[in-house]
Amino acid sequence: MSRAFPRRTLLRGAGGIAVALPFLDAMLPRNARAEGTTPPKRFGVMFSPNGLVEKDWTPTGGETDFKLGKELASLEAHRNDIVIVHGLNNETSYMQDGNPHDLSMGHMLTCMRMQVKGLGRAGHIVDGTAGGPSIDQALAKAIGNDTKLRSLELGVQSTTTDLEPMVIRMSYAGPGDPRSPLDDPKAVFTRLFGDTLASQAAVEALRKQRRSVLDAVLGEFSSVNRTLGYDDQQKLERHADAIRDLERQLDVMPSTSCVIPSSPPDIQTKVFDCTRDGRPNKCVTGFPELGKAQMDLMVLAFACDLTRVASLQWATAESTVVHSQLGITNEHHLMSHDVANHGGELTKINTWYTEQFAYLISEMKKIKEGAGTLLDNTLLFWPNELSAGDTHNRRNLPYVLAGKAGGLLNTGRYLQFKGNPHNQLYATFQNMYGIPSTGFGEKAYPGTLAGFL
Amino acid sequence: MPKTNFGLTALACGGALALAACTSGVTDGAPGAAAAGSNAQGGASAQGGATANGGAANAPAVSAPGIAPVRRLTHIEYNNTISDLLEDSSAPASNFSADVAQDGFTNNAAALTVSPALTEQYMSAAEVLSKTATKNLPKLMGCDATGANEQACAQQFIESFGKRAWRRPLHADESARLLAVFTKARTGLPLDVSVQLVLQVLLESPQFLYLLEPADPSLMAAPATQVALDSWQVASRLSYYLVGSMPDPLLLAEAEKGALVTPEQIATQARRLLATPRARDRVALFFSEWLQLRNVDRLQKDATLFPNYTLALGPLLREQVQRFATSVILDNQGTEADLLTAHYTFMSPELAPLYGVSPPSTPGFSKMDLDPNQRAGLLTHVGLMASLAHANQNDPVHRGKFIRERLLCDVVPPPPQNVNITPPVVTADATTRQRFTQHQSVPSCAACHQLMDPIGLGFEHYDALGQWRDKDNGFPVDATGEIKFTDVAGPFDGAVALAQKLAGSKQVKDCFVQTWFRFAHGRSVSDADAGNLAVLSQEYASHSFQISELLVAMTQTKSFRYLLVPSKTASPVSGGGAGNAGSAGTGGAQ
Repeated sequence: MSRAFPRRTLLRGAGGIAVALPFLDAMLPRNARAEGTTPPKRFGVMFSPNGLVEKDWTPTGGETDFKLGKELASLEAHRNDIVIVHGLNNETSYMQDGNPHDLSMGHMLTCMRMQVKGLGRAGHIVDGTAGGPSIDQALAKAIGNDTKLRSLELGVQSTTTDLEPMVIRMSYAGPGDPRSPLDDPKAVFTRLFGDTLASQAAVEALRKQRRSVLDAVLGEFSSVNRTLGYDDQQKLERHADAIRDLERQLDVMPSTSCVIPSSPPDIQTKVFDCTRDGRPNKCVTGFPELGKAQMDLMVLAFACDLTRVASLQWATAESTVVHSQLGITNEHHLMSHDVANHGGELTKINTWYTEQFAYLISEMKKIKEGAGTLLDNTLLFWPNELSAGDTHNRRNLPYVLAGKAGGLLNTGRYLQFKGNPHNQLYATFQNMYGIPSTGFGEKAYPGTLAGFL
Repeated sequence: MPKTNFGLTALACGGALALAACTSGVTDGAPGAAAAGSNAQGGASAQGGATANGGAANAPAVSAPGIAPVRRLTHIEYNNTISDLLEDSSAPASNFSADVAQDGFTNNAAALTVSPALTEQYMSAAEVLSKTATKNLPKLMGCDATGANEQACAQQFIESFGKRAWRRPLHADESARLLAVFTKARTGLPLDVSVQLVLQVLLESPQFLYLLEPADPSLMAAPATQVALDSWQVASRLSYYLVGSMPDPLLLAEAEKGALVTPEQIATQARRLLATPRARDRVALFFSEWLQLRNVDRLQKDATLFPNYTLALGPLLREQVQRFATSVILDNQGTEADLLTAHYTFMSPELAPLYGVSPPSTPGFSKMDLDPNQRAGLLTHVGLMASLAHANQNDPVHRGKFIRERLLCDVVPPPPQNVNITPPVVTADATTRQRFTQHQSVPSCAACHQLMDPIGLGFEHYDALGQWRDKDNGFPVDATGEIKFTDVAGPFDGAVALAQKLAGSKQVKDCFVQTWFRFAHGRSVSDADAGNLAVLSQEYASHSFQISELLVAMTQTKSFRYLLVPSKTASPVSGGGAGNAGSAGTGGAQ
């Protein structure tokens, strides 16, 4: 087992931005698993916000002879590895009132009516939470038991205190239990590898001490719990569950035969001259660089089997990111309300997100596993919370998938549906990952998605 | 109409709103897309707001405490507490997975959840903090832990340090369990490492991470019983409310004596805490979150129109607002009218040009009088005006919406889902007022925008960077406006006149009371709080709306001093629950 990685993993690029170019290539095991063993199945989510420009996104042609539209063009190289799922509806988000950004994001992966105690400014939910677990967490609960992390949530600009909580979060273990992404690659690196850099003896000692501390802490949780009311008990029980998971992690660290990078990616944001509203301005960048580091860490976590469920949230719903890396000077959300006048910029943004998804695919294809690649043993899911930002439409949704999920999914297809609830897609995901399911989320929208597999 | 939170007045816009075109192109909605329901109310007019804001009309005969959910420390509170408890200013929580705001504030219990990642960060932080703390073991333990004294010293340390860490004396079983951790560790580990493990247990336990107010389990059979908080619990409530940290030694001493029971005892300590430096940080934090001053921190402005603006000015502009507000409240014992109308602020040499005044001769901030015809109180601060504007033009919609939501506690419905909300293009031949005229001339727009734009247009003397101007695109500025559907409804000319109007409004004062109530209690308000809010409004009035007295009065209510015994069974919520999530342990599967 090799652990310490002696060389610097990062090169400093022009303009003071550290680039992570050799980060992934140098680290990854070429064949982490012994021949003959069945590689595990992984599930990944990449989220990008604010809908698409339908005429530029929609493919033409049939199921296998499809021709990609402008926004998805960079997936052409991977056309045999993807499945485009068009025309599903987020119907449950029309079952309750509220701000459309709460509704779209709160329902996107949960398919459940949110728990709402009241509506505040602009119809945003005050004192509310998701109605149930998101699909990634439902899967993590079932397939996350054998890895260091049950699931890994990564973000790029996913945290802001300016937007309401329901707009920010997409991943929930259950009501009141959001899974907040880490936007800082260094913090992610620490989660993944913080424990594995020490010597084996030190790791063993640390493990023993942590177990004794966490046991005692859990004892305190159960001691205070009897003095609390129902809601507070539930809240503390969720915290205690996270600690139990931390205890479970002790049994699976240190991880695998992976070569571990010796230092976290060093991404710095910087201010540079740009234009905004057509005028010279100062912009802050780091968005693409941070995102690339997070994608690298996601692939690394999968390849090293540190987790089998991961998500990357580029931004919040109602994303106010200014995509200055594309020379764009307006906020994404503001422009998405005006497709007629900002369609060109919106297509540019969506095209760029497609390139990121393509990068994720190509990096996962580089990792050999068994007879195939890491991608073959993964299902990558790229949802958007809206189909169109100007109407906040949550029907006719634009979903893209990649990977064969261990051979369960036939790829190289463009599937057009006529308004099936997306609950059915997620119920099918559950079945693919060994959870017998006849429906996901609200009972009003049962069934699995015929024609998907 | 959707249910709104108590204390907020839901305004209904007149007229049909669907398919409205308020700036330029309208996009057709897909079927169903416009049927959000919440904004298509055909109500003839907005409700009058004043009586619904904690007014006596809604108050039950007897005021009772509302349900106070357990809440964990915010990351700011964690850092402060660690600093006070361990004299360690490393502020580890600054790197934790960030807190989010709910209902305006990051200390809202509902938003303070704990993810697995945060659990790991709590563990790592406790490990590092405990290693640092045990570098000087005799100082930390406060007793001689050598030789035969070791066990007794450990016990003494657990009880004395534990009382500070958990903000109350440990129960016998708690200290026994902690001693057992120490004793077990000691069988194989050195003394300092064993103490580290005890520290880690203390810092990762719910008694440290949460503000716990345990109820007697025997009372839970009859929930909704009111129980007075004990002195330790009052000490924590007071301290986290007013200084955002653990109780200081004086407060702990009062708690030890059981001397935080009567309203007078509590008021005395509240006044003392308000005079400490940390109270300034706390009041500054309140204003930062209430007014969303983080938007001031990172203001971006059109560099051609505003060559005098640099990114370095943002944080100074934010600090200026905070200095003004804390000074009005804590130094001058000012009233709400002072906050809204005072014509002075704290000026730094860098900011003086933005106000058109000569810079103060000393670096840093110094108090400076401003032209009373140009500036009035909080609202006309450059930072606030600039944050409520686009990079290259004024934004009367958001300036008006801000007054409506933050000052009046009104709820303005969201724009229709299919409307174009991009600001109008700036042209050389039009004023702001002319650019936004469609909001008034098209009835479907005016229905809602009449609540906002006529207020926002009153700020037209401040450009998109908040600087005073007499000309807009070469035309004389027209800063006439109108505020509707409130107790001080009527026309006005300019922000100084508007500030005077707002300073005389009962709705504004009730809203301010309600906002501080949320911050002081770390939760949203509910119908059950109506009685306490009414009492607070009366107290506030009886002190001529002196804000520091409101802050003290906040600690005097039943809501602050009593616990409503919670129920052991689930409380009903609307929305989710029709599905089958979580059954059979699969989560989400039907």
